[in-house]
Amino acid sequence: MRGHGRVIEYALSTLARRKFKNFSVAAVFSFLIAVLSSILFLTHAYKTETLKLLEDSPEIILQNMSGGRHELIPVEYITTLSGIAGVGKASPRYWGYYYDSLTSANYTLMAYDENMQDIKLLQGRMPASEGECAVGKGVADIRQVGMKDDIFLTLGTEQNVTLKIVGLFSANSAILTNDLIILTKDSLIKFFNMPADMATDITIEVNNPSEVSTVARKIRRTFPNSRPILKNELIRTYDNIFNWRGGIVLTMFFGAIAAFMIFVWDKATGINAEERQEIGILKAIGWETADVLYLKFWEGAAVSLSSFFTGLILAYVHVFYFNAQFLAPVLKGWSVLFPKFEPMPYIDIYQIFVLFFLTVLPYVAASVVPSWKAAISDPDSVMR
Amino acid sequence: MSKTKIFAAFIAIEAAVLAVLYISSANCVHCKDNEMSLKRAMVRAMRLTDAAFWTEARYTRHPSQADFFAAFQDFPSSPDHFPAGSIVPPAGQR
Amino acid sequence: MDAVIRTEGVSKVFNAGLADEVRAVTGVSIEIRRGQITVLKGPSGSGKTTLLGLIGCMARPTEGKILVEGRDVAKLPERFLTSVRRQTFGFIFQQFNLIRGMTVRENVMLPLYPTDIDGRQMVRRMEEILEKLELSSKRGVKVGKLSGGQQQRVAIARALINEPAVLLADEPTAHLDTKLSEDLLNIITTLNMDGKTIVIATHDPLIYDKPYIDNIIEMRDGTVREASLL
Ligand SMILES: Nc1ncnc2c1ncn2[C@@H]1O[C@H](COP(=O)(O)OP(=O)(O)OP(=O)(O)O)[C@@H](O)[C@H]1O
Ligand SMILES: [Mg+2]
Repeated sequence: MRGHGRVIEYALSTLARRKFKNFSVAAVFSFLIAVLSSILFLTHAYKTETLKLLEDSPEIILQNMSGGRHELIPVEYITTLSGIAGVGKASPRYWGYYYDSLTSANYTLMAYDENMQDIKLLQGRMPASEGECAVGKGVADIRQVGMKDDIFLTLGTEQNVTLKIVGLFSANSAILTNDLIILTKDSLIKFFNMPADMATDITIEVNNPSEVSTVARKIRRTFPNSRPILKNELIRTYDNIFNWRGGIVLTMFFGAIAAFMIFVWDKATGINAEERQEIGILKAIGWETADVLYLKFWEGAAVSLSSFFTGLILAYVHVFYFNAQFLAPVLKGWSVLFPKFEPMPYIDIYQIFVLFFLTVLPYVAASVVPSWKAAISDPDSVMR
Repeated sequence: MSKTKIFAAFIAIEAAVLAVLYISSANCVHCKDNEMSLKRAMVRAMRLTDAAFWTEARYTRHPSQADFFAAFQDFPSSPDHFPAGSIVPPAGQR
Repeated sequence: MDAVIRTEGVSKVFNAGLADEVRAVTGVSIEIRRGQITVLKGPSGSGKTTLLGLIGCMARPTEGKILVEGRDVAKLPERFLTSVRRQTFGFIFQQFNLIRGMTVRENVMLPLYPTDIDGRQMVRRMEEILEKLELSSKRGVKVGKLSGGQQQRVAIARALINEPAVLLADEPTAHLDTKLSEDLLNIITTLNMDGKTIVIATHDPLIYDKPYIDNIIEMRDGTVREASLL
């Protein structure tokens, strides 16, 4: 209808008339959308990347339990495990944590094995002999060391090693390798003073992936003190951490959502006398209630839609071009070593739609509803 | 109808920017396929189970290993972690 | 002469049933005749504005009938009331009620925005009316920057844009000096000669003493005290 175009034009004039007020509203709105969608973008990107990567992790990790705690596992279990139907290759992993008092950072030390030799995202090579190591970007940065430099780790007078860095994991693998120090198995066993014939845990390949839970049950029956961790449990854990309805996201989300609610509430709880007067005038000169509501709808829609888009653009640029600089400290928590944020731009359109329905619609409703009362009452009030 | 035109143009530009960003994001993901497959190969070869996001505690460095059954629970959203765990720093740290 | 508007026993009660109940208009039966100038006269608080609002379909009466062009509007649903108001009446409010911050042309065309009149036709009408009211040079000026008399003329222009049969004016001279009041009356008589029916609520003798007033309805405490048909 022709008339609708003019009402939209008038709605925009009304907004332009209160330039300062509407501009600040749009700025706050855009900012909140930018915060909310930065959180969504970032967590979704990390979640997607992590879940994709973990697809390739071992089907089962077998831990030994003692007194309700994770214990070292006897390597000899492998012989028995190989006898269980459905179990493919089972191999021990040797790894542990090291707290570096110099930098107050925790590193993860892992033993080298020959499967690792063809790894690509590595500058230099993997350790070949005792006294050599490959380190992640975070470790190298915090210790301010590079190739050929030495790194000294100590747990006391007996347990200490000096390792020469022969390999550096590339920065784009930091999400996996940031805090890693790879050293030879012998160095690691000696450094951690692990008893002979014990490993940290055992990874198990399963011949037929659909039988994983059956295999896990059999393992539990054979080794009652063990705890098999399945790949899908692991994936579920990550899914939960980054799930946007829970965990980190919700915690961060909550503040921004609360701010948004207050913002909308303020608008929804009333229109000022001037606006009411104006609605009365429009009614008195022949506008119908529907026309007035249409006008208010467009006022709200124009502000919220443009702010929504602006916020999305800001969030995208913030997260994927500026590596979420403003959010990183929040996510980082107490971590001393934190991988440099370079999220891969995985986008979930569904989340954007949900955000749209959670923000733009309430705002539009908050613009229309309070005007409703003014619009349905008799316009004779403007006569006095 | 000048203001309507300006507004429509503004919204159209923003929508176009978003579309371009979306397409470029898909593109960027696509062109990093190779890097992704290298990383997946790395996960397979090193038998990694976790992402190295948070290194402040066992259960944050390796959420996959966290247990749900211990008396004193050790997992990211466990009761002893939240809320006190989020405001009390570990001993010896500022 | 036929009546454009006839009221039959019209009453308006505000806040009915409450402690501050006000009977603003009680049992008013009057006739507004086509092509005449009618004045609603009476002291402050006598119910002039309220009656004008009822006649102009701004509010519904508590009791009684209001016949506009022979059709009872008292019981019409809101939407129809609005369309009667838009098609039949042009209002000139005591407080002008212009939209501040908007230009003269926008204010004048505002009543036609939600209708499906053609844009060019709307602009043409606006230009003609501004011409007639000597406002053409001010068309791009924000109404807040105009003098009181000019604002009054903008309000008249706005009341005329939908080509109403009846023009209702509430205390049109309240904010004007004698000279401007005379100018206003000139405009009103010109409009009347063009065939418009005009109703003015006022207690300004400057208006109701004029010889060309066809009809004076005097109000007191919400009732019609005397209707002198000249
Ligand atoms: N919305 C309302 N609610 C309650 N009382 C009202 C309302 N509107 C008008 N009244 C009362 O109705 C009576 C008539 O008011 P009205 O405005 O019609 O008088 P008036 O003749 O126009 O007076 P004036 O010359 O001062 O403009 C007054 O006593 C007024 O207080
Ligand atoms: Mg009055």
